[in-house]
Amino acid sequence: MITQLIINGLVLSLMIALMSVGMTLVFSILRVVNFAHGEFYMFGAVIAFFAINKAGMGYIEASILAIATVGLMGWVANRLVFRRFHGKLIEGCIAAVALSIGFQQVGWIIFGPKQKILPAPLTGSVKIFGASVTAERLLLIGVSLVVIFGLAWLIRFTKLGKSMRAVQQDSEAALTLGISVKWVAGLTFAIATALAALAGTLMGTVYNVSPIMGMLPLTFAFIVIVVGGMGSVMGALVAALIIGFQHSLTSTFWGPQFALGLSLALAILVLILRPRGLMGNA
Amino acid sequence: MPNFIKKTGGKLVIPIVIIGGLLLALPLLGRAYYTHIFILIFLNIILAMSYRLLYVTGLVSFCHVTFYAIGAYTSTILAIKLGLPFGICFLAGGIVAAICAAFLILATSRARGSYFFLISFGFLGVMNTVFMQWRNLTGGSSGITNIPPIISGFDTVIYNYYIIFAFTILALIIMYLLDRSRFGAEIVAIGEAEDLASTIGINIVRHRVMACAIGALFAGFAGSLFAHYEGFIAPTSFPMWTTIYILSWCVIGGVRKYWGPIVGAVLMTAIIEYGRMMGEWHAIFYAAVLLAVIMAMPNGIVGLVDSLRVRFSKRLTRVKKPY
Amino acid sequence: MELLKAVKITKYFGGLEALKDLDLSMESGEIAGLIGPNGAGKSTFFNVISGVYKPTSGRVFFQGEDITDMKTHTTAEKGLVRTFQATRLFSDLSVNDNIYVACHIPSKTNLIGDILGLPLIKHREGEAWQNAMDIVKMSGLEAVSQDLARNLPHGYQRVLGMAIALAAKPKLLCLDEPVTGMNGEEIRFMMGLIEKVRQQGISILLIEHTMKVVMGICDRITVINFGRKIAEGKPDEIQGNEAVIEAYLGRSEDAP
Repeated sequence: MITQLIINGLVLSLMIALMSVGMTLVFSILRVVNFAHGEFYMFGAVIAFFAINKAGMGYIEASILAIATVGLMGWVANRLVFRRFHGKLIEGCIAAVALSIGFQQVGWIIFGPKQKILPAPLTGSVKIFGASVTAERLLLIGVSLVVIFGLAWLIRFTKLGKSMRAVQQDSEAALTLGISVKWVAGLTFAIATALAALAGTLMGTVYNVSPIMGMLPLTFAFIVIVVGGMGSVMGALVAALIIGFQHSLTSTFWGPQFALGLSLALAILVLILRPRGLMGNA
Repeated sequence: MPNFIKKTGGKLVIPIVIIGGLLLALPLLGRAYYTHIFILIFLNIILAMSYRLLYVTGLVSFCHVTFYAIGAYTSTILAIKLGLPFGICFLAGGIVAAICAAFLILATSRARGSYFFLISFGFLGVMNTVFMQWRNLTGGSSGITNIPPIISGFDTVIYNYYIIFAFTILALIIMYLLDRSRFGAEIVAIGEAEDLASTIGINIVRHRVMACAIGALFAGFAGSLFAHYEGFIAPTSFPMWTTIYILSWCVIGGVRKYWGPIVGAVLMTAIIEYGRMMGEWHAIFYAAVLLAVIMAMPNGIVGLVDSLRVRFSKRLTRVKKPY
Repeated sequence: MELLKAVKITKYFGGLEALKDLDLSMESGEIAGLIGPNGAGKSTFFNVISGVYKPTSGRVFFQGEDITDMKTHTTAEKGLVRTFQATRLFSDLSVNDNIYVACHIPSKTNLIGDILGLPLIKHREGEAWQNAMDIVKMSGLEAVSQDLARNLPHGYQRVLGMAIALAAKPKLLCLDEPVTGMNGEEIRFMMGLIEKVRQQGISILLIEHTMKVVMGICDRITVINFGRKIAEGKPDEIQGNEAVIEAYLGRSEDAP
């Protein structure tokens, strides 16, 4: 029983982490709150679905295709829409909302209202500490952890990561250092949306794919970046764990609606008592 | 005289009378469907104009629809559980919403401005949970049915249209007077330059509390009218999208002038309804319009009109030196 | 009783020392100057006395009352009004509207009265507005009273900034670099305006870099560097002061 709860909590936490790390990066570097982030998550799953069912691809190739495509979409979205709103929070939010509405509708049209599921490459289940864990969940946990560590390594040690941190702190200073802020912004957006798409393709094997599947992850991502602190990747990871486990536990006993309300109340409390979030720096 | 206190020219009177006349005659001319649409437009106008009050002070709230819902639920619960007459339920709806708004602003006065919209988003979510879970009081996800009408015996669409139309006019007049008062000028000033406003003695938090409370008051009143008109409310009557729409009407219409949100609300509601005829594509159409407007006219339609007027006016003064 | 008395003001931002043990006092009717190289902490000091920052330690007294913990709008009500180094105006409002809003304190209506616009209020409003119009005239802004603040040329904007502060009926007006970016004519105009303000009985604390202005109109000058006071006295005393010269020019081999 406990193991089951832990596994569920972990699955949820990791998925939320993938979503919110991207969102917090985009916020800290571009000063834009991407309300459409949930829709990139959704497109990841939807594109993978079509690649598997219509083009006969295997899961892995389909996922890679979906992630790459959504990453590109993110780059384009930044170039066409979000770039002009860098720093202008309200207008950027509204533009993001408009995109979200449009994307959801596009999802409806091409995918239809029926929920379908993505087939995972591995099947069967494994017994861990007395609980039966499906292969899909294991895959999700494994891949997410690898990607998250990979991202942390990227931010900490690579030139791109350092450029990102420079722009995050002071974009004008970064310009004088020869960092192309435009490229960093575009890449950040692409990475963020690719992460969302990855979360989508992974979760699509565990839960259903539908046009509105992005709304709940978006809400979670919001709560997490608020609690963790806008702009702090570490904060997002920590908060994702807290919120993911909290939600898993609470919804098992009191239902998902209550769990969501609790998470939101927690977020409000954090904002009132510690507006910067746990580790915020923005 | 301060510019904004100057009387508007008499040239506005004729268009207003014509529009007013058309609106009065509408239910008798058109189908019931259109009458219903216009009732929604009136309610949306109130929502947009009441939202503007807090918006101009620089706080973007995400929970205006929640005040609407609080007004609706309060009024409904009082009417059904306690059998109180509509007038009291109506007033209570507005007042409870206003009190919630005041608490929200006071509690969040320590958080920085850009975080306020997150807090208000959280408030929306929490209240939504409350509406869904507190089944004894709110009927849970099934909501409440058989809500008594505004005036019993006068429950047709046409009667409700006139009642709501009258309230809308009243609300617009009150908000107009507000806009032209010192308070109205000061809340705009807060949005322009908060630190400067402090420096000349304006208590920013107190003004914001008043602005939000008055805005919520009207939203609550509108919610009460909505509930007793429709006869049925549920959490799905107040989706998150509505609060986003309200924000978008203010942004599209522009808030620098008093009538901006009215334009935004009317235009966008009309577009949504027109878009319904496009079937599947209507949301995309709305999204496209929203995107186009926000990219091309960041100051809203009002801002566009203003800048056109400046460009064509002869008042491009040459500044004369006094010395 | 001193008008303003700041006692041992210390302000740290994290580990950064912005002000240290700064004492400054002023009498009523004075024009006092606060000078020092860039980054010395002058604007920070203004922020502390007007309630924008709370000092890490030290107290501020205004007319005998401890105002250290008061918020900006309260200190303004007490009579301490400051202007900003970077031009701060209500940019999208006209000059008239800027001044009208700035008359918040003298109109002295309560919130409900503001909203309802009661007749008695209108009468008091009329008085406040008349005062405001006098300020507009005195500041020479009559010709541009209808123009939007953001369309004014720089010099006018600085004057408007001061007019806004005056409309709040201060007892102590704290000017932060009022003549920055002005040419000779404009500076002379500003100095005349400051003198007119003094004649109305308003005391002035002035941050400024333009030495001509500081030496010309200040009764007393305080010099700070790196957040600490390094000299204080009459203009001629300050001009010859070695520590002051060193602070501005850095250590030099040859004595001036």
